[in-house]
Amino acid sequence: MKSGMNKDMNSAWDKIEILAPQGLQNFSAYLSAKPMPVHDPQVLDFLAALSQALLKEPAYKQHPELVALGFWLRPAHIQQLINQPHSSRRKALGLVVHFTPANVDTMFIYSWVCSLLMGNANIVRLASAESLVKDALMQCLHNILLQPKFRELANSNVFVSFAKESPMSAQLSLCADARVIWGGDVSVLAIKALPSKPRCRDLSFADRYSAALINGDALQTDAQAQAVAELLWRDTQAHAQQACSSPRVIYWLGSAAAQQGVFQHLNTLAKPSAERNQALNHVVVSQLTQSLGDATKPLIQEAICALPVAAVQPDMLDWHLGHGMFYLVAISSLDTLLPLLDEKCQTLSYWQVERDSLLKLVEQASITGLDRVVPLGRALEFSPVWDGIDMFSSLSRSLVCL
Amino acid sequence: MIEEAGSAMDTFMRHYEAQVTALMARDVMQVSHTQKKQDLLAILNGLHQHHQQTCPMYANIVKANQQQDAATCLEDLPFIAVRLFKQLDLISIDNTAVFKVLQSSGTTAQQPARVYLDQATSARQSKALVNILQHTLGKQRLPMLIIDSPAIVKDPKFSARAAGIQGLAFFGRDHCYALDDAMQLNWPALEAFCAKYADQPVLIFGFTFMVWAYFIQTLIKQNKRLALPKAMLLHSGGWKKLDDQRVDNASFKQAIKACLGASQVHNFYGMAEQVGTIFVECTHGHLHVPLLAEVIVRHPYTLAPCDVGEQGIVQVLSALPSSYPGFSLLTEDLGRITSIDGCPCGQRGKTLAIDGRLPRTELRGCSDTHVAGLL
Repeated sequence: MKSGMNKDMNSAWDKIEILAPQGLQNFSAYLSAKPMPVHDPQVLDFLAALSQALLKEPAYKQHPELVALGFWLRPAHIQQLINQPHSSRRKALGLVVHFTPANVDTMFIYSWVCSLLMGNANIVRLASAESLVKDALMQCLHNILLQPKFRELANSNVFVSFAKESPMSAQLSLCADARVIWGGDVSVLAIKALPSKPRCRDLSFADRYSAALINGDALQTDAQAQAVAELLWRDTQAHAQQACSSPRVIYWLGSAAAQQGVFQHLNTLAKPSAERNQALNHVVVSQLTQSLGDATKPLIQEAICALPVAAVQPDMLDWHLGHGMFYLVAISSLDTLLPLLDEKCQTLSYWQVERDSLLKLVEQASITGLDRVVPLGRALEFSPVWDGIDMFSSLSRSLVCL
Repeated sequence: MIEEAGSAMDTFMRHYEAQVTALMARDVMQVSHTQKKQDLLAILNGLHQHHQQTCPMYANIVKANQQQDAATCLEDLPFIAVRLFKQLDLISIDNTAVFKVLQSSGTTAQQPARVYLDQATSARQSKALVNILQHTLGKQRLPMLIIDSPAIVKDPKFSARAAGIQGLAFFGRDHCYALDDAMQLNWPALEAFCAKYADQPVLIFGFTFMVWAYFIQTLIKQNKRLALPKAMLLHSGGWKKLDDQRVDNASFKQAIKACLGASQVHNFYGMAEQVGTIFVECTHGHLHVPLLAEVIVRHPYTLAPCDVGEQGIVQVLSALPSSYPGFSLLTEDLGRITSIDGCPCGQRGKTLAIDGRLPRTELRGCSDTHVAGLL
């Protein structure tokens, strides 16, 4: 289909290109789309169809992110998510506009699904960066949305693209009942600065980083080292470790004896997909960090890099280029972790640390960051409570009936 | 105490300058690679200590990697990733001694590299450039055609492009700029130059992309030729921008021959972070590593040194920089060592081929989709 045909010609919205579903209606029709009921059967059927397509069709097998999405969307899991008890009746907000990040190309689908389950009409602006995963996903969404039984949904949900320079972000902001804003701090602030309706809700997902906590004293065997490496790989392979919830920092509790083993195993896992500039990028990040004066020699610097540092400084998170770069911080007790967790720290994934003592620690009021504490290997699992925000309640109105 | 440190520094600098001068005085046709390596190792080990004492960031990096001591071979000397010059102010002199700050021409929105020069380093670079280029150009200063606009050297922001032109302009006389401020061919100036020097040896210099896109392509499009059969063209800057136009060294030379009648064309490789250290193409088409420098090619995945002929990341070592810790740099270029002491042109040492650049990845965080148009 020629892209020109999908543009809303001769209107204020002619800078907008519809990616999916194509050919149904002019863009402006989406601005007045009617919300649907919360947990509408058509939505649940649609999510089941999407799940089935992502899991069954060979075209998506090559993208682990899409298979993971398909798995997350399977009906049993969606039921589990929406069956959480809640105290009030819910209704859709209206029109939700989503601004999505460039480098984590499937994340926005999760927040869109949450909004969809609440019955909202949605306009999702995708970054213009080229991505095979994004293209595959748009094709899949287009195919399913074109089925007649999803017509209502297809008329109230649209994925679009427009140039950064265009005034479309400002125009869309004025129409939104809620804005879901993914991006770096600068991007998020730029969108938030655009005028919106007085009651418009902003859900901002700005720059965060994540850490893993590994109990070195519990690491006794090579099989355990291999297992820890595999869990770390699971948390960092997707999106080349660029997702906010992928650990970039490893807090290593107790004995360092097994460190070399874990990182050697991780390096072996990362090698087959390593890029030609990966080792050089690791040198760059290591040397930048070492120039600050409190890093030592990397334990390994090949496909992955493990760089021992005394503490994590903000510059180091800026310099981080993903692709298996780990800042390794030794800690002697859980208490010493406390001052190290700043407000930018999103997820702490743990291995062989007693959950209760960990929870006691992170519940302390002095910890301003840390919105997720999950077992190692599950850092990338999306949940409708994200960055400390309950998406379902944030993207719906709670109705009080006395 | 301060006086003592000062005099120790003076002693080092005197000794170091003498070493560099002695190395430059040697004959590139005579000195074998093995001999060269010994001379160079002594100088570079000296610089390694010097920069540890004068640049705290450099000292921190080599200390972290346990590389404080003198190396026993060139391969074991520490290297600094050249990209660090974009992020950090790597400087080994007092701010008051800064004579010039070179800024690399960042083509994208990235921060440009900043290279701090004092008078001594700058002078050493110029001397080295003369030393290396005389081998190709001879000692006489030739009438010179510069394929660029005079505006570029007037820009107060001292770019690497301006530095390159200024450095090379020294080798010619009666300079003529081929382009005007709008980057169009300056026909009156060109015709006057050709009329005056048609039968004489002249020197032409420009950046490879500029020569191709603004000079040769315009001549071809306008179906014009210039008669400069005795011209020698020196060009540099890389083929990267020309990749999509499918220009290689051979077709470049062919086009020069067709448009100017000139057949002496020499490419050279070098970078803003090591001005003066240039690798000039000989009459047999090979880039030569000069006496005061060395190239080590490293495996992209392990960074271990590659064998001759094996492609990898280019590391350049140079005896020249004392005002910033740039004597051993890991570049972003891919290349190969093509011979050692074996070029038929008679120059000894290593020859090198540059194959392109590594792809860049400079993403940050869960970010940045949207900003440019909004701010």
